[in-house]
Order: sequence, then structure tokens, then C-alpha cells
Amino acid sequence: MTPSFFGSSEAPLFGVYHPPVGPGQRDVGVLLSYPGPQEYMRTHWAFRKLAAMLAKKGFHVFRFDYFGTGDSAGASDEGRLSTWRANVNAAAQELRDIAAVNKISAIGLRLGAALAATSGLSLTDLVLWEPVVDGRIYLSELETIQARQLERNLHPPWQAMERPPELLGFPLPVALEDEVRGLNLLQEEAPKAARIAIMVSEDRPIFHDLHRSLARRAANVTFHLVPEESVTPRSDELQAALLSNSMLNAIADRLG
Amino acid sequence: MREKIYTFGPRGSIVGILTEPDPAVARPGAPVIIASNVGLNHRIGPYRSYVCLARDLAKVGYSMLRFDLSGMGDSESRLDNHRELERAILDVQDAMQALTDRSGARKFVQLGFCSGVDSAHAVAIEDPRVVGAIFIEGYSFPTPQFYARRYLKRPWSRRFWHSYWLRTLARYIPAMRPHIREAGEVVEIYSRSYPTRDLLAQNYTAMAARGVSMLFVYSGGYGSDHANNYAGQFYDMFPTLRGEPRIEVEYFEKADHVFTALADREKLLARIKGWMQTHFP
Repeated sequence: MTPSFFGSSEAPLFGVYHPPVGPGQRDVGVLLSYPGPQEYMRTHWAFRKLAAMLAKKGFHVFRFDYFGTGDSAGASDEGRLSTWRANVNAAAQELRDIAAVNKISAIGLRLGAALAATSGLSLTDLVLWEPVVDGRIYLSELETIQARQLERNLHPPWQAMERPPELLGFPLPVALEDEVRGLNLLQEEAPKAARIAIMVSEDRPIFHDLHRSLARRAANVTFHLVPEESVTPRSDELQAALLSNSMLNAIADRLG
Repeated sequence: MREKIYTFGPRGSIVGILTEPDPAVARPGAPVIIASNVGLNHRIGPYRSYVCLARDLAKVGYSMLRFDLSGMGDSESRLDNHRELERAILDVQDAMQALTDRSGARKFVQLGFCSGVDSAHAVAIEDPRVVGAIFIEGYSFPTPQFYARRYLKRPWSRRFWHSYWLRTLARYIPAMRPHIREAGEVVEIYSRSYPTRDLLAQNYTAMAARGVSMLFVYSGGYGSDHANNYAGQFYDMFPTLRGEPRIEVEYFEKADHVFTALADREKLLARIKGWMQTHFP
């Protein structure tokens, strides 16, 4: 794998390219789209593993950090969905440039799935891995975890404040919060993808709603339940690495 | 400030990011700070704290390398049979050598956080190139005052009673059992193999005699309060180090183990930056 900075010199983004391993290279690049900052750390290892699995199947794979996250430029309070969507497009271009591929597929996890779906990219395959369908529900899930953490922390530093200025250790500026609250894949324009797979570990009604909604508006939309540890975090699991072997295999098989 | 990919080690398989100050503010001859993984997480530190620290330090003239130990984060595994700590020590030594070869760095500050203290400590006690060490949530031992505070506070602890009742109910109600870990868990950060207290005191004394400046940081909030619960605990653990001018200790009573709250993290980073400016002007 080859780490690099890409994009503008004023705000370089960090990415890692995984070239195909062995014979049988494909003319397809796969872009991996991380979840939001709160869930990023626990999924880093799973993304590295997924990238390696896809590289072994002959794909060119690229994973990258959004602006204001990971090793990319920007402070943690500067991230916005609109910027991150632009980052997805920049990463796709970087992958095309590095690998000289004509086709791009994308795999997005949680908020990353929503970003990939709304990026406007023309994709061969789009895998929505336990996607954030409704931004309000997503924020509510994270806020619930935060409330639990506060409850057991004897000294919450901002206990007296009405609204914490942050969410699970990361700034949540109003502009970003507004963007996330306004996110709803049921109402967004359908992704431009030849095939769309919704892949989930937990059978929740909202995922079926998304399946029905996309199936009405796009061709080749499939739903896959892979029972396993859910990506949707609970409490301290945000600090524990996500492994998801069955899901990683299912995704790699889906693309391969 | 500029950042660059830094690959080094066997086959160039270890991946890091070197953050360097603008030449106008750079401090020639200042030590380079080196940090690696905290637990199994990759090199950016809890809540991206190493990225923020590196950029803050660059603004005042210091360089910092954050990297993934071999086999973790974005780094490949070493193809040898060394044990985990031995591999980590080799990785840190490779990092220092790469910084010397490519950037001319001769002096280093080791930064360890939680289990990351193990390799930082092991390298700091042996390597004369290490002139400073920052140990965050590192080795800690209970003292009589620790136990006294712990048991005296317990009846007023909401978390204790919450855990107590959950455990009691779970004995009779199987459906409650999945909730026990969350409510009553003790993070097993202090269960790894520790040097003895006497050995640590000897190590710290020897490092101070060698001219190594040390900053010890502890927190007393969630995830830490089972091991640290008062500001003077360090010197009660190591009474012979009391008055040693090369040692500074900071206790963040309210911060949790990984400094989750932004306000706590900002104080931590400011403390480190101030310590660097004082000891390596």
C-alpha cells in the first residue's frame, strides 16, 4: 500500500492506495468512504483489511481521510458534509489518476455511505454498508451514547451547559449539525450507480425503507443482511476496533 | 507548518506523518517528539489528539512524528519473531534513526499514552538520544491514600451504586446480564505487565541523572479513577523522586482516561506545549 497526500497544497488530504495484488488486474477502482469522525477510529482496521481483500481480487483500492479528520488538513471543527462530498469526488479523481482505471465503485460505511450516495459520482457498484439514512436518527444515536457516558462520568466538564458543544469527543459546529440533520437518503436524488447494494448487520426498518425507496428510483438495488456485530455503536464500543469479518467477506464477494 | 509521509523501518513498511514547523519559527537543535499508537488505535491519537498536538507544536517551532507500530494502523508487520514490546522498541529506534538520517535530528522526546508508554519508557531509559519523555496515563500503583479516598468516596458514587444494583439484579434476572459490562466495567488498562515500582523509581532516577526531562500526566475521571484519584499520588508512589527538578507531574482530576472532552484535551495539549517550551527553549 502507498500512503500519500493529494488534493490542493493548501488543504492536502491523506489517502492510501492499495494496488492489485497478483495477476488479474481489473479496470475498476474502489473508493472506501469512512464513517464520520466519531466512528472513524473503530473502523480504521476494518477498512485496511477490506482494502487488502479487494486488492487481492484485482481491484485498485483507495481509502482516504476527509478534510478535518484523520491525517488530512483542517481542524476538527472545520469539517462539513459539503466539503466531505467534494473530498469523495477528489479522491475518486485521485484514484483514476493513480490507477488509470475507467470505472469507479464505492463502499461507504454509515455517514460515509450517505456521502458516497450523494456525491454525484457515476459508479459501477455502490455498497451502502449500514448507511446513515436519516441524519436526525444518526445524531440521536450518538447523542444517546454521549448521554450514557455523561451519566457515568462523575465530572462531566460541561454538565451545567444546556447543550454540549461537542459530540463524543469531536466538535459539532452548528453548520455541520444542520447539514447532518438535513440528510435523508429517502428524499435525496438516487445515486448514479449501475448496482446498489445495501449491506447491514442489523435488521432495522429504516434500512428496508431505504431499499424500497431506492428500488423505486434506481435499477439493480439489492438488500443483504449479514448477521454480525452491528456497526451502529453502543457506548464504549466507539473505542473498540470493529472487525466484522463476515461483512468484509460479503462485501468483497459482492464486488468480486 | 508542513506535513509529509514518513515511511521507514524494514522494507519501508512503517508509516508515519512528520509535522514540521515553518523555517521562520523552527528551533534548530530542538528535539523531535515521537509518538505511536495508543492501544490498538492508529497513529492519530485519541480523538485526533496527536494530529492537533503536532500542529500546535509546529506553530511554536517543534517537529513531531506520529507513526504506526509495525503491524498496526497503516504499517506492515515485521517479518521476524520478536515479541510485541521488542518489536515496538525496534520500531521506535528505527524512527529515531530515520529522523537522524533524513532530517539531521539528534535529540528526541518520547511521548507515550496509556499502553504506548511501554515502548516509550523502554527506549527512554536506554537511549542517550532521548532527552525528554512525556508519559500520559502511564504506570500507576495504588497507595494507602488512594485506597482511603476510593472507599470513603464510594458511598457517594452514583456509578458505584448503579453498578452494584445492576450486578445484584443480574444474579436473578438473566436479561439484565448484557448490561453489566457497560455499567460496571473497569477498563483493563492497568492489567498489562508492569515494571515493579522499585525498578521504575530506579529508571526515573537514572534518566533524571542523565539529564532527561520528564512530564507525567494522570487523570482522575472515568477509566482512570480506579488507578489514580489524587494529585499527590505520583510522589507517594515514588517518594525518592520528590524534589527532582527534571520531573513534572500534572493531574487532571476531571478528565477521563482518553481525555474525551474537548476542554480537557485542550488543557492537556497546552500543558505539553508549555512543558516543551520550558525544557527545550
